[in-house]
Formats: sequence, C-alpha cells, structure tokens
Amino acid sequence: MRNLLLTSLVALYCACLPVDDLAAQTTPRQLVLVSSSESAVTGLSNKETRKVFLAVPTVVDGVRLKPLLNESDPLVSEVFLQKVIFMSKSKYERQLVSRVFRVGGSRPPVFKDIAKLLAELRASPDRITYMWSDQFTPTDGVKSIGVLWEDS
Amino acid sequence: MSGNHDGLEEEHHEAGVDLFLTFEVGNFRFLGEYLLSTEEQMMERFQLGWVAGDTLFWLGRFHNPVGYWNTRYHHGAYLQTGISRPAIAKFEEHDGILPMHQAGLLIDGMFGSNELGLGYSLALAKGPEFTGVLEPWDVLDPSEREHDTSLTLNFYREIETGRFGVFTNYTRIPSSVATIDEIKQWVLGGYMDLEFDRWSVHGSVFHVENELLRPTGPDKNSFLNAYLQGEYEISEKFRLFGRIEGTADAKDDAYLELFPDFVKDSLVGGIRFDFVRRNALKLEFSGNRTVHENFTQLMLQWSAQF
Repeated sequence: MRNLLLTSLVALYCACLPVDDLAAQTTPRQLVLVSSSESAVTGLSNKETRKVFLAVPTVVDGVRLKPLLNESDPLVSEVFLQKVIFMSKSKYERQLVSRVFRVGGSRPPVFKDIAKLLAELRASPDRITYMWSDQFTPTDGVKSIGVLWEDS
Repeated sequence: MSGNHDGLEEEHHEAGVDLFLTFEVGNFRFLGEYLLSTEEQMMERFQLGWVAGDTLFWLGRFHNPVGYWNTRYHHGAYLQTGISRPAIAKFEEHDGILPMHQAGLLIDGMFGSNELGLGYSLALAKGPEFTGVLEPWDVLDPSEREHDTSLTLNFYREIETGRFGVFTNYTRIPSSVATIDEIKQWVLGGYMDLEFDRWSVHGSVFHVENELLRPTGPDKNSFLNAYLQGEYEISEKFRLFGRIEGTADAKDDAYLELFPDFVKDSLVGGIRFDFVRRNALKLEFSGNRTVHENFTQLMLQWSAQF
C-alpha cells in the first residue's frame, strides 16, 4: 500500500513536469536515426549509416535508402559528423563531391528547417535522417530506428 | 606554370573547364564529363548506369579503376589537394603510360554485408591504341582507332579512416607505330588512402610489365613505381602537401623509352588555400627526373567548383 502510494506520487509529479524538464532529468540527450513510420527499415548499424550518408548505394530490409542532411541545429550536424562520419564538415563535403563525381547520382539534400525535414521524411519511406530524440514525437509520422550517439 | 628544363626557362599557361552532368531517374543513372581547355576538348566520360541493389552497372567510356587516384579525382582539379597528378596516374594525353580511360562495361559493387566491407570494381572494356601516345576510345569518333581488350579488377576495403585495396589490369594495346605491332601490358598493385584528424596519406605501388611485340621479335620489361603523398590541414582554409614518387628497374626499359616525358622520380611540395567556399588557390613546386633529363617546375592554379 505504501509502495503504491509512492509510485502514484512519483507519477503525479512526473505528469506535472513540463515535458522538456522531464526529458532533461530522466534521459541523456540522444542523437537518433529517423525514418518515416511507414518505412520497412527496422534498424541500421553506425557503419551502415555512415555508408548511406557517404552516398554509397545501400539496401536495407529491401529498401534503397536515401539520406537527408539535418542542419536545423548546428550541434546536431556537428555531432553527427564527428561521431558517425568521423570527418570535419569540409572533408565531408569534399568526400561527397568526390563520390558524386565518381559514381554520379546526387548529393544528399540539406534541410535547415525541421518541419520541412519531417515532411520530407513522412513523404518517402526510403528517406532517413538524424536528429535529437526530442526534436520529434510519434505523432509527427516518423520513428526512431536507432541511437547513433548518447550524451553520457 | 613555369619550368626549368636543363637551364631553359619555359612558361606554360592553361585554362580549362570540366563540365560535369549527372542525373538519376529511378534506378537509371547518367554521368557525363566534358573537358574544355585551351589545350584540348574531349568527352572524358560518358556513362549510362543501372543501380541494382548495392551494385552499379555502367556502359560507356569511364575512368579505369586501376589504382585509386584516377577514380577519386578524375579531371576535377578542385578535388585533389595539389595541382599535379602522380606521373603513373597521368592521363594519356599528358604523357600517361597506363590506360586511364576505358570503354565497355564497368561494375561497381560490394560483397556481402551492408557494412563498409569489401568493395570491388570490375571493368571489361576496350583499351587505348599506341600512336606515339596512348589514344583511348573516343566517344565522338568511335571508329577512328583500333582498340583491343582491357580488363581491370580492383578490390578494396573501406574502414573508418579511409580505404586500402589491390588491383590488376591487363591490356592489349594495338600500335600504329611501324616498329611495334602490339603491346601487352600487365599491371599489379596496391594502394591506401587514410585520414587521421588533420593528416591524410595517399600511397600506391604499381608493378608494370610490358611485352612489346615487334617485327623483329618480342621485347619484355618490367618496372616498379610508387608514390606517397602526405597532407596536413593547418586550418579549414590552408593545407600543406608533399609527395615523393619513384621508379625502380626503369633503366633501358623499352616501354618507358616510348614515353620520354614520363617523370620517373619526383619530389613535390605545396600549399592550398581555400579562400572562399569551393574556390582554391594552389602553389606547387617540384623537382623531376624523366628518362633523359632533370627539371624543376613551379605551378600556380586557381580551381573552383560550381
């Protein structure tokens, strides 16, 4: 009975907290890989993610993945390049240009507006991008398909 | 560009635009590259491609995946840190001694996993004709020259810090020069392309064996060529680079005698300044040794990508 009371109090306290405060208190900041909730893709390793974002044709769960670059927040872009791609921005740009020069196709499109990025993700199940876990909610029509990096 | 050939001062100026077009519709890809310069005009690449899963199938004229330099930088002056290419990777029209362009089928793929695993490039194609220089198949005049088989296989492993690989190429080179009927060429080698923080290192080794079929009988020689280029990023805007190139067993090599301007040994140093986005100024100095002479060279280049 006492445990039930304590649990109820904690639940009540959490329910009263603003969502941002709750996230800040209970979970470290996570950089996650995101796709449309309609996508058949269930998960990618960091190496597979790197390959997709280096514009190498990559098929996962029967879907040829197309990357979208998230520049809505300078930090998200910086962390992604450092922790997943292992390159500076200028090196990454050179690498993409070199890759397109070699095998054709196009460089991944860049999005500075998170709403437009989410809309593009929802529109095409073969698109993937990265964002902070608190930059979207399940009602946005997108889903997390993996944690790329966690602020420990 | 200016140079000093055995005491003779020479100057050379060249301006060029490398026009590149690519588009993708579903699984179909097109890639075209046309070089327009004060020295030459040439359709360098003309490729029709099909993407099947992780694999790319190309038909047309493409860059030979022999080594790594040729398919990493192509004709894009802006893409490479320095100005000059290693002599072994020079294009046919610039005293190149290996077929850098082929025409036929090219398959780019990766074995097995979706990780950055074992990749490959396989080319089943036509190679160049020897007319005093190597003349690759011309898209705009396909029947002009005689061309024979050229096969290349390149296996590579991509890792987090770069790529390393091995390659082989076999080419039968018909000749229109009276003293040679045909040249059979085998190339075997390995390469690495690594980046560590501000440092990057690119190196390659080529073993080249040539059999010159002459009316008087065959003439077989081989030599070894290697280069190593190091680059250091001082800041986002400035990069230093240096390269050493060398050729062993080249003395009296009958094939190299056909290319008197081929640089056997070279020491290169320079600086690159990316002064605004996608615009670079480069200064490069080199000491060079060909089959018959030594010379120094100072080059200045502005390159940009639009």
